[in-house]
Parts: sequence; C-alpha cells; structure tokens
Amino acid sequence: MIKLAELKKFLIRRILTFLPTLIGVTLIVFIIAYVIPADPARAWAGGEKASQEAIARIKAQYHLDKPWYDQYWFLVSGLAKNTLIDPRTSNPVMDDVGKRFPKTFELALVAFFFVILIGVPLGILSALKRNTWVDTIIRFFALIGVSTPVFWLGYILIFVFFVKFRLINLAGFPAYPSHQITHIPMIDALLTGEFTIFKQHIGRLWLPGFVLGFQGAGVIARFVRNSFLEALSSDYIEFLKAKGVPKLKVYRHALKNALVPIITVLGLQFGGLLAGAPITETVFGIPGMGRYAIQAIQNLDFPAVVAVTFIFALVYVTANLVVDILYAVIDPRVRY
Amino acid sequence: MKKSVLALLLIGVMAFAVVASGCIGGGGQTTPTSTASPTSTASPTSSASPTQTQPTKAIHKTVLYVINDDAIARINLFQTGTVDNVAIPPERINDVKGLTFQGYNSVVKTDILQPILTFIVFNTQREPFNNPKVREALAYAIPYDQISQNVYSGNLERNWGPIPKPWPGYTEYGITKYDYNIAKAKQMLQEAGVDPSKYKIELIYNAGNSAREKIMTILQNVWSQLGFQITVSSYEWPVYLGKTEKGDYDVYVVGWVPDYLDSDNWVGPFLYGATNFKELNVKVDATADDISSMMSKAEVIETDDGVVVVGPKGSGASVSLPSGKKVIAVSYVVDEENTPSVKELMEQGQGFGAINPAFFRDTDVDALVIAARRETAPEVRTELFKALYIKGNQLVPEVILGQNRQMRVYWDWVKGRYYHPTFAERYDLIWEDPKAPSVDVGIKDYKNDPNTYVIGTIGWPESFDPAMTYETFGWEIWHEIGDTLVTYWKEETEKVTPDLAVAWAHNEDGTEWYFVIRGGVKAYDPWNDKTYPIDATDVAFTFWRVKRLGHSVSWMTGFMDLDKSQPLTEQEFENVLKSEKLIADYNGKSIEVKSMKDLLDLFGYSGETAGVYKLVLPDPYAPILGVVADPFLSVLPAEYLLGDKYDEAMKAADNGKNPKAWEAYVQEGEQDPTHQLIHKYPVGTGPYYVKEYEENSYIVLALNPYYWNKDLWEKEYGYKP
Amino acid sequence: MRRMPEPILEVRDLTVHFYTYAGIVKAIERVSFDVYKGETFALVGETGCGKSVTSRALTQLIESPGRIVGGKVIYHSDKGPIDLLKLREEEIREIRGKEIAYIFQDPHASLDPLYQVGYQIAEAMVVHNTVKDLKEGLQRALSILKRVLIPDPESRIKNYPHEMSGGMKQRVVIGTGLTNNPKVLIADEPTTALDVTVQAQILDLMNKLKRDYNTTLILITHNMGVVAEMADRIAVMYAGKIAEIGTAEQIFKNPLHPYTQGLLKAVPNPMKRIERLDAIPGTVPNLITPPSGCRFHPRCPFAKDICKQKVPELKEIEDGHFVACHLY
Repeated sequence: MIKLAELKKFLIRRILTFLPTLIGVTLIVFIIAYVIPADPARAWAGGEKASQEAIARIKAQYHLDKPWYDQYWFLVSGLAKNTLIDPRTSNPVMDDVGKRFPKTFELALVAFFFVILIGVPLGILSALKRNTWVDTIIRFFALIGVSTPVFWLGYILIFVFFVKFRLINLAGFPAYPSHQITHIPMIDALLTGEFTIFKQHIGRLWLPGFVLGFQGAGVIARFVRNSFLEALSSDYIEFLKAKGVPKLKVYRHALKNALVPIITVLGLQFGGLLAGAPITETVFGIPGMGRYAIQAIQNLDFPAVVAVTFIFALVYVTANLVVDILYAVIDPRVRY
Repeated sequence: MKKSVLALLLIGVMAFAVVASGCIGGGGQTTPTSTASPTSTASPTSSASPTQTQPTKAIHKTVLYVINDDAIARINLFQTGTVDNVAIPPERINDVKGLTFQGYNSVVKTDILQPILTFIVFNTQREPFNNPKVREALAYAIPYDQISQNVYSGNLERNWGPIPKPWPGYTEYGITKYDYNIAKAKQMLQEAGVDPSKYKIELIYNAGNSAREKIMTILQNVWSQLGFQITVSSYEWPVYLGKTEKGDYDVYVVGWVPDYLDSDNWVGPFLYGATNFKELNVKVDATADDISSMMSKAEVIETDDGVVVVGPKGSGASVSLPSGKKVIAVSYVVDEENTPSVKELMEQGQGFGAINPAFFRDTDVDALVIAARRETAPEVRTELFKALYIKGNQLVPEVILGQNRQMRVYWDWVKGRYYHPTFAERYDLIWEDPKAPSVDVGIKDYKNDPNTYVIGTIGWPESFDPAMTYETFGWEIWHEIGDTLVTYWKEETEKVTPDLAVAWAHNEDGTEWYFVIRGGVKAYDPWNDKTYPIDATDVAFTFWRVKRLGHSVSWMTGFMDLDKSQPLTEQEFENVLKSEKLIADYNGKSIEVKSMKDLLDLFGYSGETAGVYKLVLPDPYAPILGVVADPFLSVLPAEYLLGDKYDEAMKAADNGKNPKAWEAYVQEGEQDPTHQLIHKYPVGTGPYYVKEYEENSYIVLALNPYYWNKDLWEKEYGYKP
Repeated sequence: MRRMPEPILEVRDLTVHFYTYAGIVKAIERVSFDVYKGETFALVGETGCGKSVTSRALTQLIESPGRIVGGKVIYHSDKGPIDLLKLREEEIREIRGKEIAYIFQDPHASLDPLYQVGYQIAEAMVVHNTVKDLKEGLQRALSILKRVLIPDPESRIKNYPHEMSGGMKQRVVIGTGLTNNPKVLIADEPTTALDVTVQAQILDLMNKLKRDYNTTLILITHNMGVVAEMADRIAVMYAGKIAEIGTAEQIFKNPLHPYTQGLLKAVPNPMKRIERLDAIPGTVPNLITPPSGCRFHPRCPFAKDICKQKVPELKEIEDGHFVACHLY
C-alpha cells in the first residue's frame, strides 16, 4: 500500500516534471502562433480602423519586432509577475484569466459529476444485463451521447427549461463567497458554509454541466461496460463464486479491478471537458475561459494564448497526477 | 432488480434537476406587476402637482446590458420578455416577427437606412483589376438583389458610389447604375481585350464572418461563368488584416461605418490615394478663361446643379462649360518628394490607413478630396463631394454592394425611440409603458420592469476609457455616461447642440475655436462616492490625453494641434476678444463676438461658466464640430485620473498652458495608470453612470444623481433623483 | 484404503451443454458416479474430456454459454439428501465454500490481485457468517495460514498476491478452501501449475488436512502418478462420458476399458524399463458433433459395429468396478 514517505517522494518528483512540461507546451504553442504569417499588432490595435502610430506603438510595447526567444521570455516573465497587460482587453492577462477560469472549472466539475453519475451506473447496468434489451437501450443511449453536438442538445434543453419553464438563466453569473480558499466558488461556498451561494452556482450550472457532460457520459458508459465485463471474466471471479461470495460482493471485486482503466479515461475526459467548454459557455452565456480562449486564438493574442495554454496544461498535468495517485491507491502492484 | 435500478437512476437524475432548479435565486415564473394603483386614471385637473401617483411614462432609471454571444440564446431571452431590445443577425429575422408577450407585441423595424456601406475592394495594382474597364465589367457581374436577399434578408439597398444616402455628395446624376447583366459584363471584357481564362482570382474573407462567406460564394459562382478561375479562401482575422493592409490580395469584401458626420470620412477612406500637394487652389464661380489660366489640363465633372473642373496647375486647358451651373475649379501642384509611391505604401501596410484599401491613386481625385477637406463653405463642399461620388462610380476601385438598413427588434412597450446615424439613443430620452410586465433577468436581483431598459447584445466594449475605445459598444456606453463639448440632439444631423460647451466661436479662417465651458458640472465617481468639478482645464487634459495615449481612435486628433490648444479663464478670453476677430454662428444667426456676454446671449445661456477651451487646428476643418461630438472626446475629470499627482501635474503644466509637461504623468498605451484606472472604474458627467459590471456578462448603468441636466427628467417624467 | 459404503455425493445422468456460435458443444453427457464419505475420489482423463466441467457442474458453477441440461446431484448433507441442481441461487451459494469447497488449478488466477490474502481468506468466512466480523475473520485467517504451513504468517497475512510465490499462493488457496471445514473439497489440478518439488509438498499437505478433518476429497487431474499416490477410487472420463469407475487397485491392476488401458500404457512407469511410450492413435473428438454410439470407437482397437450404433451403459463387472463398453 502507500507508504507516506514514498508518496511524498513520488509527488515531489512528479511536480518537478510539471515545470518542463508547462514550459514545453507554452513554448510550442507560442512558436506555432509566432510563425503564422499575420499582423497581430494590427488586429490588437483595432483591425481595419487601426492607425499606424497605434500599430507601431503596440509592436514596440509587445516586442513584436524582436526575435522569438525575446518575445517568449517577455511574455512568460510578464505573466509570472502579472505585469503583462493584454492589448485587447487592457487588463493584466492573469487577471482576465483569473476571473474566467474558476467559472469554466466549475462548469467542468458539474459536467464531470454528471459524467460519473450517469455514465458509471449505466455502464455497470449494461454489463450486468449484457445482451438483453436493457443493454441494447443503454448502448444506444451511449451512442447518441457520443454523437450529439453540444449546441443542439443545449438549444433543445434551453427551450424546455428556459423558454417554456423559466427554470434557468442565460445571463450573468452568481456571486462568489466572501472567503476565497481554493478560488473555486462552489467549493469555497461549501467550505465556508454559505449554502445559498452554493445553491445559486448549482442553479446556474446544472443544465450547462449536463449538456457538456452528456457526451462524456456516453463514452464512459461504453467504457465502463467493457472494462467491467473484462474484469468479470477474470479468473479470480470464478474462485470468488466457488467460495460462495454473494453476487454484489463479486461485483465489488470486479469493479475495483475495472477501476484502473476507468480512472484513466475519466482523467482524460476531464481534460476533454475543458476543451468542450467554449461552445457550452457561448450557448449558455457563461463568461468563462472557453470563449476567451477562442477569441484569443482568433486574434492571435499572444499574451492571452500563452496564459490560457499554461492554465490548461496545468490542469491536464494535475489531472494526470491525481489519476496516477489513485492508481497507486487502488492497485498495489503499481510501483512508483 | 434491473428495472428498479433503472427507475431509480431516472428518478435520481430528475430529482436532482428539480432540486437544482429550485436552487436558482428567484428564477420563477414571470409575474405581471402593475405599477399603477387601482385608482389609476389620474384626472387632468391635478395637473399642478408634478408628482402624480400615475406616471404615463416610466423613466429608465437603470440600463442593463445582458451579454450573450449566442444568437439563439438572445432570441430566447427576447421571447421570454427578459430583454427589451435585442441584437440579432439578419437571417434570424423571422424568429422574432409576430411574437407576443403578455399582451404586447414584438416590433421589427427594418426601414432605417444606416450610413453603412458594404463593398467589394479590387486590388487596383494587380492585373486585371488595374484596368478600369475590367472593374466596370465586374460591376455588371454582381447579383445585387440576390446578395441582398440571401445575406441580409433584403435589408441592403442599392448605392452606386462611396457616399451613403442622403449625406452630402450622394447623387444619382451623371452616374452609371450598375445592374446585374452577365451578357454586358462579358461584352465589356471582350471590348477591353481581356481573356478571363488567363486569370486566377482569389476572393478572400475573414474566417467566421458568415455574411462575407456567402457573398464570396455567390461571386465565385457568377464570375466563374465569365470565364475566370475563381477560388474563395478564408483567413483568420490577423492574417486577413496582414494581407489586406499590404495589398496581398485580389479581391475582398468589407463594410465601413463612419466616425463622425461628414462625407470626408467617406471619400477619404474610399478614394484618397495619399498624394501630398504643395499647392491647392480653389476658385468658385470660375469661367472658362479662369480655368485656362489656372490649369494645363482639365477634367470636367458635371453634377446636377454644378460643374467641378480639376487639373494640374498651369495654363492652357480649354474646356466647354455647360451654362447655368456654378463652376468650381480646383488646380493643384503635387509635392512629389513627400508623396510616397504606392509600392512603398503597400510595404508599409498602409491599406485603409494612409491610402484607400484598393491602393488606387488618381491625382485629380486626390486633389478634390483635399480641397473638400480644406474648404469651409458647405455648398462648395457638397459639390466637390458630388464630383467625387461620380468619379468613384466611374472608376470603381471599389464596387458598392449596397447600403445597410438597420434592424431593430424590441417590444412595443418601449416608447419614444429615435434614430441617429452615428450615435446610440440616450436611454433617458426613451421610456416605457408603465404597465409593461416585469420579468426576472436572473442577474442578481435585477428585473426587466418599466424602469429598467434591458438590452440583449453581443461582445464587450473595447474599454471603459473613452480615449481607448474605437467601436460601437464603447462609444454607446460613453454616450450614456459622458458628455462632450457639443452633441447632436436626438435625430439632428446637421447642427450641433451645446452640451458641456454652452457657446463657441471661431476665428475667421477657422483655425482657432473657443468653447465656453458650462459651470456647475460635476463628474460623479460611484466607486468612491465622490464628485469632481469640471472646468476648461479638464477639457484640455481630456483632449490632450487622447493624443498622448495613442490609441487608433486618436487619428482624429490629427485635425487638431493639441500642444497649442489650452484652457483660458473668462478674463483671458475677454482679452483675446479685444485683439482678435471672432465669429460665432448659431441658430441661423452669425455675429462678430465683442464680449463674453454677446456670445452667451447668442446662445441664450445665462448660467455660470467654468473657463474657455481654445482648440487650435493646423488647417481649417469644417467638420471639426462633428468630431468634437464623438464620445471618445467625453470630458473626464483630471483630478480623478491623476489622483494624488493632480496638483503636481497641474503645476508642472501651468494649469494646461503647457500641456507637454503632462507627458510625465500620462504614458503611451495600455500600461498608463490613468488608463488602467478609468478602464476599470469609469467616471463621467453624463446622465448615467456605470454602477457595476461583469466582463463578458453584463453592465449596469444607473441614473446619475449629479447630472447637470436632471431637470430634464423632472419635466419629462416628473422624476427627481 | 478403507471403503466407506456411505455415499456423500450421488451424481446421476449429469448433462451439460455449451451453446456457442459454432454450435452446441455436448461437453458432458449422462455422467454418473458416486463419491463416498472420507475418501479421495479421482476424476481422470485427458484435457478436454469434461472433468473440470463435471466438477463445476456439481454446485451449479456453470456460466453462460454453458447450461446444465439434465441430471441430479444428490448431496448427503447433515439435514438429509438434497439435489444440488434443484437449489436456488441463494441456497447453492450457502453450500459453496462452506460445505463443498473448491481449489483451482492456477493460484495466480484464483486470487484477486487488489486485495490482501488475509482479507481473501477471511472473506470466505465472513460471507458464510462463520465469524462475527472481518476482525475475527482475520484472526482465524492467521491460524489458517499456520495450518497450511506458511512461514511468518503475521506479516504474510498482509501480503498481496503478487508478493507471494506460486507455492505459497496455492497454500493460501487451499487454506481458503478449508476455512469453513467443508465436507467435500474439490481440487481441480491443484499442483499442475507448480513445480515438482512444491507439488510433493502440496500433496502431502492435502493428505494431512484430509486426515485431520475427515474431508472427502475429489481430485481432478490428468496426472496418473498423482492419482496412484492419492486416490482411493478413480473415475475415467473420455469425451464427456464416464468410461470406467473403480478402486485404485482395480483400475491400475485390471483396466477394463480400452481407453483406460491405453492411458496407462501412455504413462511411464518409473519402475520399469521403457522402450517406447504407446500413444493412443487419433485425437479427441469434436464435441459439437460427437461420434455416434461409443465416443471412443474411432480410436478403439477393438471397435465393433455395435460400438458405432449404440451408446454403452455403465455395467458393474466386479464389485465396485464399472465400465461402459460393448466388450463386456
């Protein structure tokens, strides 16, 4: 099992690998943006109505005429100190990101909750009722889930839950709790006991979260089914039955064994939820990072692009780390 | 067991949904509220008391912008009465027609012709577009009606030249009204000796713009029939800009929205080829003899009631002039040294900057543009603009696809709406039916009731700093929360009205303008609950700061010499009057100003004043008042911006007499601390102030209790803040 | 080798079919035999003859696509005889692991890699409520580890399966089988997956435990040497049918069925000098379309016409010695 000292060493080693990963990812993304033949300065200065002086000033200010390593260093050091001001929004870039990221993260959390809540039980049910009509229906549902475009589902549900029955909002965002601990409003509200605020956030995010998670639920349902069936056909299952272990306990054994691949996929899914957020955010009017990222990319807003990449990469490597730790918790054969 | 598990699951999800929906703060059904009391019919006999129990017009105490970038979501917001007015794309028009809500109907108005032109740009430096005959032929090969129907739901009206109707210069005399005629196009190409199959043409548009995509697809279809090899490509916005500014394109499509109310802001961007002139002579009522002694060659352009003759300075030009029409002759000497070559301009990326987007240069045309710019007499300018319209129509460096009609969608409980070509409405000048329904917006506790004007829109202001915003949203906000020296009142487009300037005068050649600043005006700072008095020094600081920050919008300060402009005391102004001849025109009267009292009497003002702002122009520019009315020149309190550096800065600049000293306190660009301050916490003098906002989500404006003209609200609505 | 006349299991006409896409596999057909209390009963035959299926079928441990199509398995429990095949899921579960326990061939495959071995031993007791709770179960597991002679049981009880050798794992499996003092222990090839030295130890262990607890042992194997050493009575299976049943002495000294004879000839006798091993010609038949009549007839040197037509029934030739062959 986990020995605390080994765990600490493991964590430190993994966290040390974060830094080169983050640098690598942001550097690659920056270089891709850099080599695109375009005039970002003009776009930042106002597009067709941009004046030459404004363009020249922006070029000088953001080192756009300097070589790529100079620009990259300028961006990264400015982001780290939060002195870098975005040319399009006039706000310090990390402030912009800091305002929007918690919303997207909350949305992803709610969506993730639905992915697990819907996908896992359905997957298990489908596996247990293999080849019966229940299985067929669930697999059909999973296929629909994987194929449904987010905006289509969003529109349909908005029609039901907003136009017909005013049960949700399409604008604004609830307030944050008074104390910021994790900077994720929902979690902070729970920690500080401000349940009204927690309920407000759930109220705003449950439908977009459902829409965003629907596809993931389909994927997870199929995956859980397969993984669970595989575990159920393992050899030790027969021995468990021979021991006289009741069905439910046998399933518990199988589920635990099936967990490792499921957790891997869930970890990847979480990253995918972040990627799917922009459309959901647009349709539901949530001012989060998804839309911000798209606009930054469309306008070749280097500072914002690097900042957004950094945050997303950070989320991915952290999710992977959590998955790896969970492996070690579940499977004693894993050595770190 | 299987059935129960499935059932349990479904119940669980549904239960969660129900519980979650109950978690929304007050997201319940809409409750019709009536602000009227049962004894509603207020009898006219009680007309003496201004505070009625039953208002007939509900004033907009609050303005709420609800931002949602998805068109369908905005339509949903509108359908449910959550917003009063909504911005939707033209193809969605049928989704909002004929809607009803609690007894009220949706209004879809598409009859307002906006001063916006959508047009095709040819790269006139490339073959085959360098041949004007080819451009004309292609102008016959555009299915104008189809484009209007398919792309703009019919809301694009024909226009054949670079000035919108009905601005000065728009004319239908002496022009060719291109229509869709493929046979004629083919014939013209043949006559021009051009073999279409030899040319590969790439039509480009910026990715994501579905209207432009549709237009280019239609053109590809038609122009291929002429025999050209046509491809259509989309490029991401910054790449697209890079190509168009450097002339690295064949054909693209774009729209133009004016910055201020003058046709110079049309002919310049569309036709001006960046020629600089050493000399430019304009003679009105010229005769044929005058002309032959003025210029060596002459181009004659006949308008409906005038004749414009233009040519290089010299002698010997012989022309025959139609009789009975006023003749305006323009001769010029080109400054070859200071006129960059078109190739240079391309390299510098000056497309739509120093030179028109088609990189088109015709020296005669350029001379007319500059002449119109420098001329002050409106009738002369109008004739010059007409001539330019005709030339633009003949030479078609750009083909006008049409002029856009505005689409306005709102509920009919909103009353008093009006239209101005360059400004949004002032929301305290429009009102609502007091019996209109009240709907929860879902943002905090805000409700869409008759006293709240809720707008469903897209995007976000470029900045809350008027000096660094150059797009409609930012200008709209500042039109509500700020004041300029002069403004256009409601639908007025010809004459400006006093705003923060109560009176103005200018010297004879129009290079010096003096604005008398209204006294008693306070800027309201809701973030610290403070007020700041406004005077001429604030005006000087505001104008100077726009240039200093150097945002793209500051190009218009190029018409001014802000280092020489400065604030004056009333006494200093009186001294100026003693030594200089100043003229004031207002309400059809024109006087020579002998004293401050003379000036104020002309404008009918008898209140306090707070100094005089002297605005110096390097060259006379007739539309300067229109520029001054633009929201980017909203007056800001220098004390707020400079904070504790205010006294120091004012002393260093001698209270504005030496504005250059302010450079130490205001930097260029977004890093400037005064910009960062007002960008986050805007402060203005206007009828509204920014109460709160959440980026990309919503903005709330509230009536400014310190507004200098709040008596207006009492008069119109019986409302006292 | 004492003959106990009291049967503890009476198997009659046990038939199991597997419904696959290729066709219906008639895995075992009308298998009948008796097992007496306290004896070691060996079920032998080559791979694929149906002995594992038979052993599973005894307690309905057959999974889809297999199905028990017919037959009876009378188990003489303390409460009287019960037909195991007629019991419901819950009822048979109570018997499995408590009164009839199993040991499977591959110890690597018998233990769940994610749980400690101590837990897995205790689990067998907890699910049958033979202990109060897990804590007591773990204590009992400790004593079981001692019984199966695992060194250092206090630390071993917390081991995970991958931390143990094959031999130790098999001891754990045996221990698990014995936790509830079952009446019958079914061991399916318990030593095949282990190396020879460990084999001997395990066999010794099983013998000792059998003596200590008076357990009936059903031993499934294809290893005649192990059979010779351990078995009291033997049943020989071929292609899903019982060919011959008898005591160890009867089978070894006097094999009646041609298949049994061939089997014994194929196994080397370390006491005799070997010139050649005689293999039985031919291969095991396809059980989807088994040969008609006697399933061995295609390979039988003594095959007659009747062998092709009629299925031979088990006939008692001498006392307790049965054979299913048309020769007799």
